[in-house]
Amino acid sequence: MPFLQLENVSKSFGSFKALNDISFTAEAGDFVVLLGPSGCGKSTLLRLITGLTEDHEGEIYINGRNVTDLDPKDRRVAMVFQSYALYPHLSVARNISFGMEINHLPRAERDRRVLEAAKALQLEDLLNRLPAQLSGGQRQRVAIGRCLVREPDLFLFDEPLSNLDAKLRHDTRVELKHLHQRLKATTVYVTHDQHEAMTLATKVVLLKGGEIVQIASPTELYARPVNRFAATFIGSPAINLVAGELDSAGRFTGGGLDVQLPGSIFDAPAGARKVELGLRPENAVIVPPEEAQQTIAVDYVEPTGADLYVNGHAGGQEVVVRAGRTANIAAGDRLPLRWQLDQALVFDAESGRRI
Amino acid sequence: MARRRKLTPGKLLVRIIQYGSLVIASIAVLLPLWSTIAGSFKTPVEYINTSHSAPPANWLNFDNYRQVLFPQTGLPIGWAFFNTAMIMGCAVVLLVIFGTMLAFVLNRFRFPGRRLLLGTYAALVAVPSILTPVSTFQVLQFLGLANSRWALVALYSGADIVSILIFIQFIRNISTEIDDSARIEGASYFQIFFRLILPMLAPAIATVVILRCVYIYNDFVLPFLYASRPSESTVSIMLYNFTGITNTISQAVIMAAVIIVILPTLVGFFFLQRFIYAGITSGSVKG
Repeated sequence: MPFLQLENVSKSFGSFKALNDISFTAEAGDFVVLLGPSGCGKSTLLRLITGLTEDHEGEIYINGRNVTDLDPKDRRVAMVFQSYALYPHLSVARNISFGMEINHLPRAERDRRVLEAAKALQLEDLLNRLPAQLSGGQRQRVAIGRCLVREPDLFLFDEPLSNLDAKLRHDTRVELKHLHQRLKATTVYVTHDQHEAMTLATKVVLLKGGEIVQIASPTELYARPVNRFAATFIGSPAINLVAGELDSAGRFTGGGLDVQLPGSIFDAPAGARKVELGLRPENAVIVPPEEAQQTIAVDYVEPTGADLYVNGHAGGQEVVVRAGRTANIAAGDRLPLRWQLDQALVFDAESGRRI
Repeated sequence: MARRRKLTPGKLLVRIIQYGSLVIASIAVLLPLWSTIAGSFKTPVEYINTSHSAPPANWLNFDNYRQVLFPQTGLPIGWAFFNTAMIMGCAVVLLVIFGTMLAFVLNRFRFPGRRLLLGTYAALVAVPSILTPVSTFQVLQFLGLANSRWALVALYSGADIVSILIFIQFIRNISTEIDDSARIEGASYFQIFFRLILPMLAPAIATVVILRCVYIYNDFVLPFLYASRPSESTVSIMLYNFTGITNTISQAVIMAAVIIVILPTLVGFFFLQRFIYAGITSGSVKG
């Protein structure tokens, strides 16, 4: 049996269906990221796993136990909250040991676990401080320490990086990744940030409107999204979608492109229909004009340091392509392009499903 | 030397009016205080014969104070201080327990009648206080509390809408993730309240306690109705008793009593003014 298993979990608030028939599993040591735009039900799903939100349909199993009817405290889960939820009037040490005090663990055992967690998280020098005297990253480590000492089956994170500035967010993300590799703790992590999902997850559960869109590893999610939503949600800048026609021989025309698509990119034989061709910005190569499949008119250029993102249009449609930072491109230029079509994704224009 | 901006005649006039009015207002406030202090050191004869604003002949004449603190007949004012302190202490403890718990329940739980409950507290403010004493008295008589200090404890310990709103305002600013986190860690609602929420409410509690203590210390009507016996009387009643029934007591002695009653509030104010300001603004702006 998988370590974490959700079976047909649904949850409604009044007439609003927040989650609809959610099923997924995770093995011990997995880092599962629940990813989706705000309002997709990912936080609700996390609260159902903790037991903080009650009354749902379906079953939840953690480490072989059916926890569906258990109180949060009996589920052997620990959670890091978005605000960290540290107790502001208690020292770091008391924050970490609060749960053990509540549960009447002997003092010696409490002290031992606090020290152990403090050592693992480099909090030893901070044990007597109050949360207000800590930086954002330190607060997060305290929140994680509070989880560690409970020795839970499952770690849960609710958008823990959203309150940090960009630099700290990156550092803390790296720290989380290290920690997970060291502790091998099974983790469920909620975020709307695709970077966090891609970098941390061993398995991504992509949600939209209370339903699962796709369950996949980060690389698979990027390379083989099941539909247009999954393709556009992952990737920054977003994937280019070129509207056009596909004929029965696999030839695509539209947006200034007229190209033969390789058969390998199709999951199933494609008939003639209206489609959208998905082309990632990094799959474009700037070529001499005579080799070009498409020429775009450059509207503006966004330098990001390592790369240039060239925003332009062709055949009445907007296109973004990645170019090297040394490329000499300016607004008003005409840029001849060739696409790596073996990386292309083809979506049915009506249903949005990948063909 | 720094250059100073030139003062035009118009501006000068405005300045004179501004400062002049402040000086007049200050005199209006300070003069009675001065005449009270001066009067408290005068002998009875001197008090009648000299002007109210004249200083006493002897600044070290403590006879009036001696009479208030250690009277030959009747109870010393210390007894009234004890009564007031006891009533204040009991009432404030009860008020904080009731008020914070009520605010916790109203803010953190969703149940039918929740809005009605809060609305009732608010609506009670609209009932003119002149209407309630008779029925309140009957209720307290029924409970066997009338004519005792315990009636005052009961009346003062009821949470009012202002205290409740101050508590609710503070609790609202405490993230519910704190509660959730504690619940996952195994804390009961009582543990969440007493070990987390209550300590975090300390600033709100300080505010409410100060406001309520000031009210209890100054209140005259309720002690007059429920605890008029000398052995039960509060500071405000004992002060009143000096003036009323027995004309044998010199006005100068009353002045000494007034000073003794003012002193604790003055000392309290100096130590707690930070909290008092905070309390008043949080009550008026946020509450």
